[in-house]
Order: sequence, then structure tokens, then C-alpha cells
Amino acid sequence: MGTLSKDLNENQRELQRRVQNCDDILVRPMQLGKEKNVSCFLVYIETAVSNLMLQDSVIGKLLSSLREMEEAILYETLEKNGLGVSDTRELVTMEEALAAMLAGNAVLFVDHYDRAWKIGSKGYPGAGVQKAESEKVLRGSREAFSESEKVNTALIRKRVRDTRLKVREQPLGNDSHTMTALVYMEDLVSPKILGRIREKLNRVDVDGVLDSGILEQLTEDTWYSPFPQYQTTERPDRAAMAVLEGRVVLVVDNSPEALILPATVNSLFQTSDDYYRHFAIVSFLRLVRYGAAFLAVTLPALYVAVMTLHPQILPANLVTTLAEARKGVPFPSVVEVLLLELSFELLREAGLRMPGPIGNTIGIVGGLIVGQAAVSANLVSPMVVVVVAMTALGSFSIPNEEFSESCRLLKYGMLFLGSCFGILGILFGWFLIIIHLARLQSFGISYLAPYSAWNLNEKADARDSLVRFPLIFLDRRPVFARRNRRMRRGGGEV
Amino acid sequence: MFSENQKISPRQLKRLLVLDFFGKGALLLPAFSQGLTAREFLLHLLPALGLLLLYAWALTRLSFQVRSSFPGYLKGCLGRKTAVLVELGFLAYAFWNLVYLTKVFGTLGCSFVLLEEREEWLLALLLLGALYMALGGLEVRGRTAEVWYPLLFYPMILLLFLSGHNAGELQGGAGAGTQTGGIWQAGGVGQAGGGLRISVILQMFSVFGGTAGFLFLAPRVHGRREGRKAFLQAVGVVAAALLGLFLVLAGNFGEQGISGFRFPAAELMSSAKIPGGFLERWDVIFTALLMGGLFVSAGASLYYGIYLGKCLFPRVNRRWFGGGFCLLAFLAAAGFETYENVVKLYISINSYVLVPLGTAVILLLLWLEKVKRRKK
Repeated sequence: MGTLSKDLNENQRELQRRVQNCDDILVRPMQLGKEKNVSCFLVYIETAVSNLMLQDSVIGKLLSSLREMEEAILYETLEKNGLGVSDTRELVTMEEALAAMLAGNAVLFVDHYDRAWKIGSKGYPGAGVQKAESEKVLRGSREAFSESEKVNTALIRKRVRDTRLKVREQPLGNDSHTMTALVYMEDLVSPKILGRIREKLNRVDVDGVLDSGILEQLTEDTWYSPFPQYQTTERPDRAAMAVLEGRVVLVVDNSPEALILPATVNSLFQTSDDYYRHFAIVSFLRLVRYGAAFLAVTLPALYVAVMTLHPQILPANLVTTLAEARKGVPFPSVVEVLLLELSFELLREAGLRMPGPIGNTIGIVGGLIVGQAAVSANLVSPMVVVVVAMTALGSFSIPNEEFSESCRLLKYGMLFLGSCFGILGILFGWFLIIIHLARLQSFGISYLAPYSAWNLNEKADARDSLVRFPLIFLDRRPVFARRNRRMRRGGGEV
Repeated sequence: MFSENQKISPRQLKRLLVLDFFGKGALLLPAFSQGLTAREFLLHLLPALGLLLLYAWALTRLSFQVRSSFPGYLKGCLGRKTAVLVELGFLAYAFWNLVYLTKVFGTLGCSFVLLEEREEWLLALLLLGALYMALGGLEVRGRTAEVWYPLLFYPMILLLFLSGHNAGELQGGAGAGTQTGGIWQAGGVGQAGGGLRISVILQMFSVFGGTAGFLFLAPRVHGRREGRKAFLQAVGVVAAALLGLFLVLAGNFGEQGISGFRFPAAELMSSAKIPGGFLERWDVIFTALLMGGLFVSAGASLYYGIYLGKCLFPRVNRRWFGGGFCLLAFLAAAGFETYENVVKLYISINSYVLVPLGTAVILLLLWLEKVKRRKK
């Protein structure tokens, strides 16, 4: 524990060493006393103490009073809390001072005085922060990122109150000069991964960075892949979790979605409440999600393949039922499925673009009406409606929106292969998908890890993949973390 | 980063080899059953698999000497010219293997999965998949095999296991002969006269001549000892799975059954009754799974082809070489009228020329190593 020095410069040097590369933490030097001869500095998290200088704030009033005092009285006033400020506390060590600052308070250091003062402030942003809309969870925080980079980094720091959490700001965009921030744990992040990310960001040459999506596309390793190579999140708790895993979070101003890198298929199937709920239900739900992804890509193709090329594999009574259902439909199965799938895409797009409540209504009513009308008009068979609905449910069950979109896209390729080559075509399609995934990397990490590297990291990643082991067994950080800092407990050393 | 180290894990190696050899073994081995009863076939298969294990052990011994690359090692031991000749031999093996796999894929697909499809489309499908895999390099092959394995191999084994319970019910079918009591009862003497024919054993062994490919992979497996262990495990798994498969086939089809079908493994599933009854016929599923394994086998042959091509002709672009290799394989496979013609030629070239030569080279290298050790 480092006790504070009477020398203000020494305190400032030590503090700045500790908060080095934390661009969200401000150190503001000033002069107090009537003669302006008492040096001091205030340290605080920018967003947490944003109303610092307002006259009507506690800190503002305190500082104004201190500015008018004689030097001798000033020290006495501070020591005895002569101004009667309710939420102040004397801090003796640097650790106490940092903890108070990270809790969202301002901390005042004064020259010739070996203590600091915590001055209560409004704290981290809370009110005004919106609820998560696309990453809904049953358990856990409801907070979502806002559109301000400062607020978003503060929301992460609110969850990881440690000076090892670094926030490196960098403006990007030749004309927009959009502020971006790389958030990571200094001792957990892999220097190679961080280096690569920085290198890629430095190479960004574009007039405007209007959303994190632009950076995502400009910096991903394989531009032609339909799969997301970054994980997006609108949840600060997810981002904080990623930071504690040794990953890097990229926050972009004016974008309510942060990017988490590197990303793997496994990470895209995880949600934040996976860690807040019982492992058995979470494991079951993960299996359901993988099954859903399989359905989202394959079900229409499988239906067409079986109906047109392999009806012999079905029991006779089922074939008869399906044939009965198709009676009167003038199109081949593939056209039937394609028609309904495209109608569904139209409904989805229309529902998305329509304002608020109308959009939701369009989705439900449109789906019901169009589906029913199409069946009644003998354009499609009822079974196809079931297939398309199941496929849509499958794609909605994938936690990551970008991955879900990839599945939507691949579904059409698979439909083509299934209609031409049946089950063999579907197998071929999956073979190509797996090879493609095996070729993908996200900042040097295999996209298929841990499925393609089961023994990696002492099988720790495998314990949090298809199923999630109880938390007591998840004692190691994933492979993203620095090699010698992978233990979650006991100080982190392996 | 761990994903860019140009190496594969022992687990990936094991899965790669099992997928590579199980499908091929299951489809090609019955070609040697002509004139043999099921019991004779199994009696020949056992020593062939024993030879395979012995060969695998010899390969692991040699693999310890291969430090950076097998072609480099060959040059060091045999001289440049001889090394080039050996590499050409391996290249020819990879090519013929690819041709055989392509043809068997087309034939199998048209016989069991897509009855009305043109075979050429299926040949192209396999080669495209194999090319995409092979061009990804060894790491991509390893990762693909690791993920592909539980999706293919476990269901296949499960289906075989489930189909085993109706052993005996299928006897009397197309391939059944006079011995309908199953192979466990006395009787069933074929052309082998109840004895062993060395030539058949060697031919069966030649199906696994490609295991020598381990020497190309060994320097690129994480951990020498673990790699060696994984290789031996893979050979063991393949041997056990094939033995299990042919036992089930013999049990189901009776004494003459195996030789009566072109692809008895696929045929088995067309009439197998799997408990549950939720699907009428499993042959499409089983055959598709077998064919999924052939993608990996073809990818392996093409990978070795491209690798050796790059060693022999360093100036040629590997993509172009791979494309050309595929095109030639396609033309060769499509050019053969029937599957039987390809099998005959494949067996002739492999069993009588390439695999014996390859084995001789391996034995020679082992002997040279021994001489070196003695000199030291």
C-alpha cells in the first residue's frame, strides 16, 4: 500500500503512472487559496464527474470556497471539513484514492499535504442510459450502451473498477474525426492481438466513421466472408465480461454498439446471462441455439431434398400426408419454398423499416395473413409454411444478429444445393461452410476455436462451448487472454 | 498466434487419418472379396490389418528422423535424383487415389443417393470440395477434420451398431449364397479353399498404402511423441472400425454376401431396420455420411498432390497446379466407363507397383537409419 506523499508532484507522478493509457480519467491541476499559491489537482472519471465545474455542484462550491481562503485556513478547513460537505472522506493511501476515483468520485490532492479527499459526485451515468433492445436477457443488467463514446467507456469502467482497465482514445475518419476508444485490461490482453488491432486501426483511411459497422468492415481479415469476424454488443456487461477475458472492446462515438475482438463462432453463441443462470439450463439452451442455427441454414433445403429427391427415406404414411398437403400446388417444392421465404424476407424488411408499433404488427399480422392466404390460394402447401416458420424461428434464436444474417444468406445457397443434389448437396454445402470457417481467423485466433482445437488452453475453452460447465470449473480465462495470465483466481498467474 | 503456426494437433491428425481411411477401406476392401466366402474374407482381412499396424509402427520409427520435411529428408538420405523419383511415385499414388475416390464418389452417389443425376456433376462436386480444402493448407484440413469427425464418424458407427441387431434377417438377399446359417456356423469354403492367399492379404494391405503420408505430416504435428501416438491410435481405430463393419456385414449377408454386392456397406443400410422406425430407409443417410468422409480423403490426396507438385515444380503456382490436378483426375474418372474398370486399374497400379515400391523405400530408409546408427 503506497501512502501519499506531501509532495504533490510525487503524488501526481505516481497517479499518472497508474492511470497511464486511461484516456477517460482526467487529472486537472489548479491553484487554490486567495493568493493562488496552493497547488492541487483533481482526478476523476470524465463522464462520472461531468458537472464538476458547475457552481451549484458540491465540488464546484467546495472549490470556489477554497479559492477564496488564506493558505493556513485552507489546510485547516480541509482537515476538519470546515465547509460541512456531507460526502467527503480523507484518503491515506494511493490505492484508497484510486478506488474512490474509480467508484465515480472526484479526488482532490493538495500540495504539502499527505492525504487526499474524496469528494462525492453524481457517479457513473445511469439515468438516461437506455435498455438493451436487440440483446435481451432474462437475468442481468438492463443497461445498454448509449451513443456517446465517453458514456460507453464509463459504463464499462463502472463494472471493472481497476486502473488496469485501459481506455485508449483515437480519432478516426479523415473528415469526421470520430472518437474511438480501445478498452482492455492491460495485464490480460495479448500484446500480439492488441498490436494487430492497433495496426489495423492505424491503417483505416476513410473520410467518415459514422458507425462501428464501418470500422468492422474496413478492418476484418477476410472481407468476402459472410460471417461476422467481430462480435457486436450493445450491453456494457457483455463488454466488461469480454475485457475480463482478455479481449479488446472497441467503442465508437455515435454508435450504440461496441465491437468485441477477437471473435469466434463459440463466442457468438454465448449471451451475457449464460453466466448468470444455472449451468444445466444454459447448456441446454446452447445446444438449442446450435440446433437453431442448423435449422436456419438447412431446413428448407432438407425439405426440398427429401420431397423431390429422397422421398423413399420417409415412412410411407408420412410421404402420403405430405403428398396430400401438396395437392393442387402448381409449383415444384423448391419454387414453393423460395416464394414463401422471399415473402418472409419482405415482411421482415417492411417490419423493420416501419415506425415502432406498426412494424411489429406488420410482422405478425402480415405473416399470418400472407401465409394463410397463400395456403388457401394453393400457392404453397401448409407444410412449407411450417418449414419457413421453423427456419425463421431458428434464425431468431441465434444470439448474434450478424451471425443470424449470415445463416439467412447461406440458407439460399443451401436451398440451391439441396434442390440440385439432395442430401449430398446439403452435405457438400456444410463441408464448404466448415472449411470456410476453418480458414477464418479473427486477429490470429481460429474462428472455430475451441471446436477445432479442443485440447487448447488445458481444455478450458471447451468447458465453455457447446455446454457450459458450472462456474466453479471455469477457473481459466479463454485463449484470448495473455498466456501467463489465464487463471481467473488467485491473482491470475498460471 | 496459435492458429498460424503451420502445425496441427495430434487430435486433428488422428481424426484426419480416420476419416481418410475408413471410408476408402469400407468401399474398396469388398473388391477383394471376389471368390471368397465371408469367413475367408475376414481371415484375410485380419493379417492385412496386422500388416498395417506393423507398417504404421515402422512409419512412426522413421518419422522420428524426419526433422523439417519428408522431401528434404529423402534428398538427404537418397540423393536428389532418387528423391525426385520417389516423390514422383508418391505423386502418382496421390493422383490415382484421387481418381479412384472421385469415381467411387460418383458411382456411389448415382447408385444410392441421386439415382437420376449425371455422374459428372458428382465428380465435379467432390473435386471442388477437395480443392477448397486442400488449398487451405494443413491447418485448415486439420481443423475441418476435427469438426467434421463427430458429425460423420460417430453417426456412422452408431448406424452400424444399430444395424447389427438385425443380423441374419437379410440373408437370402441378392448376394446370399448357399450358406444361410451365417459365418459363425461351419462351412463356407471359397476359392481360397479355407486357407490364406498371400496375394489377397497384400492387396488388402495396399488399400492403406497411403498411411505413408504420415511422414509428410509428422514434422508438422505438435509434439513428436503425441503425434506418433495419435497416428497409431488412428490406425487402430480404422482397423477396429473396419473389422466391426465387415463382421456386421458378414452377419447380415451371410457367407457369400460381401462378394455379392458392389458396395455392401451401403447396401446393408438399404434394408436395415433401425429401432424407432422414424425413417424408412437409412442407406441414403449412411451413404451420404460415407461420402462425406470421401471429401476428406480426396482433400488429403489433393493436398499431397499439391505439396509434391510444389516440391517437384517450385515455379508452378499451387492453385493452378491444384486446379490442373483436379481437372486431370476429373477427366480420368469420367473417362472410365464403369467403376469396376477403375478399381481393377487402381488395384493393379497400387497393389503391384506403387505401394510395394513405397513400402520398399520406407524399409530402405529404415535400414539406412540403422546403418547410420551402427556407424555412430
